[in-house]
Parts: sequence; C-alpha cells; structure tokens
Amino acid sequence: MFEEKLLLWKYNQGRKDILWRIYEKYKDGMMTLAFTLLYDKNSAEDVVHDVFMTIIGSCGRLQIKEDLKGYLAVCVVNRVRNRNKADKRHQSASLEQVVPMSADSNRPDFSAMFGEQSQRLAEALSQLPYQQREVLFLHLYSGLKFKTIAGLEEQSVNTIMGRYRYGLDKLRLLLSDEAKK
Amino acid sequence: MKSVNSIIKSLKKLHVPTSPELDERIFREISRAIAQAENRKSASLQPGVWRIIKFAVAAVIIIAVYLSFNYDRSMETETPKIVEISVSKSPAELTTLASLNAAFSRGGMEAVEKQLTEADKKINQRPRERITVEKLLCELGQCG
Repeated sequence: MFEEKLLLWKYNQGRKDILWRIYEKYKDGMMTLAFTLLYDKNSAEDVVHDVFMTIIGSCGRLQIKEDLKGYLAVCVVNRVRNRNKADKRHQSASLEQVVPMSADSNRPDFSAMFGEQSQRLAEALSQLPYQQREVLFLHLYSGLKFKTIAGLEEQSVNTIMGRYRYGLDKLRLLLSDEAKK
Repeated sequence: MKSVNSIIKSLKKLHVPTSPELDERIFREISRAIAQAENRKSASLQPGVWRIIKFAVAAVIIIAVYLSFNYDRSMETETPKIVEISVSKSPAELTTLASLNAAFSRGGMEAVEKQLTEADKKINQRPRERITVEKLLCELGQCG
C-alpha cells in the first residue's frame, strides 16, 4: 500500500528511474487483464506494450490522482476497446452483441497461459459476454469501484452492478455444469 | 455448485505472465527514456553553468579593481611619516653611566666630552678650570 503511494508520487514527480519498478509490479496484472479480455497472447502483449509506452512518455507531464493500478487497468481496457472497434470495423459487427470467445482448451497457449487449475475458470470466462467479463475483471482483479467503472463505460451504476451479478451467476452455472461433466 | 466467494477467489488468483521478449522490449524503452532525460538535464544545465561562471569572473574583476583603487588611496593616506622628535634630556640623565657609555660607543671620548659639556651648559655652571674626561675619571677612581 505504501509502496504504491510512493511509486505514484515519484511518477508524478517525473522520476523516470521509477518506471522499472512500476513495470515489474504491474506487468502481470496488466497482461492477465488484457489476455482475459482478448484471449490472444500477441494482442494482449501489444496492448500492454502500448499502454506502457504511453506511461513512459507521460512521465512528468501527467498527474495521476487515483491509484496507479486502477489507472493502468483503465488504460488496458481502453486499448482493448479500441482494438475491438478496429477489428469490428473490419468485420462489420456491433459491440453490443454477445462476443463469447471460443474456448478451445486444446490450444496449447490457452492452457499454458492459465495453468491446469485455472483452465476451467478461463474456459468459463471465455463463454461470458465481453461487457460482463470486463466489469468482473475491473472490479475484482483491478479493484475499481462500480462508480468508476460506470463513469468509464458511460453507464449507470445499476447497469454495471447488473452486469457484475449476471457475470458471476453465469460463471457459477458454467463451472457447476463443468463439474457435473 | 461453486460458491460465489470461491469463484471470486479463483478470479483474483488468475495470473498470466508477460513473455521475456516483451519485458526486454519495455526495459529497453525505459532505458532509452532515462538516457534521454539525462541528456536533456545536462544540456539544460550547460548554459546555466556558463552564465554563473561569467558572473563570477565579472564579480572578481570588479572586486579586484575596487580593491586596487582603494588600496592605492589608502596607502597614500595611511602611511605613517617618520617624524624626528628630539628629546631633550636633563643634565642628570646626560651624566649617568649608561648615557656616557652610549655616547662613548657612538663617538668615543669626544662624544662623551661633548655630552658632559652639554650637561654642564644646562646646569649653567662654569668650570673654574677645564677638566678633561680622563682627569674626571681619575677623580672617580677609574684610572688604570
């Protein structure tokens, strides 16, 4: 907690030497978030790379008021959305549509990414609509409040909480079905 | 059926590491950013440093000129003049043994005689007869 505040303070002071530590501390969290939203390793790495390039370039010019972890999570989500929009433009599909990723657990990188224990959870997550997955991860994994997520997505807090509840319920259903198999 | 809490715990435990290639790419960018920041810092310092040096040199020159100007004047006004002061001694002082020895070392017997004559003049006593120093010393018991 103290280290996070110290890193944020030093970053706001423009201390570029602190970027090493910021990357080391938050890289896996950013990668996990990007991968669970995109389910593509290369795309996820590109997103993390782009986000961190922006962080490096903004050091000293940008003043981050909220916590660094939450800020980085928002940056990742924005990049993922931009990427999805660009992909959708090519595919001429709508963002509101349910976009479940194909859960091919036989893909080597999929199981290697998450490990055996988390593989079932990852498979279930891939069945969720993108918006529910996004809310779940922003709230549970990155620690953002519903109010912040609502502002980010330009939706009401009730809508965001609804997505969160439905996402958890569906996950529970998928995992119990999987267990029955 | 899995509980919500266990699902939340499992979600929080999800971990996807970055690849070493990505780490290397990012670290290279960070190193470049730090190096650029250092270059910018040293470049911005150089004009400032030269300005400080110029001011310092100018200040030294001004101080040196001021001191030399004032130093000459002060030498002229404050040099003490050697004033000769003549100190008149009393007849008693002129006839003491130390005074006579000093006179002898200055000019021998003639100087001693001269000092005694001077002392005599001051007392204003005319000798009945001219007494030389040798006679005087003999009278004092200094004859050899």
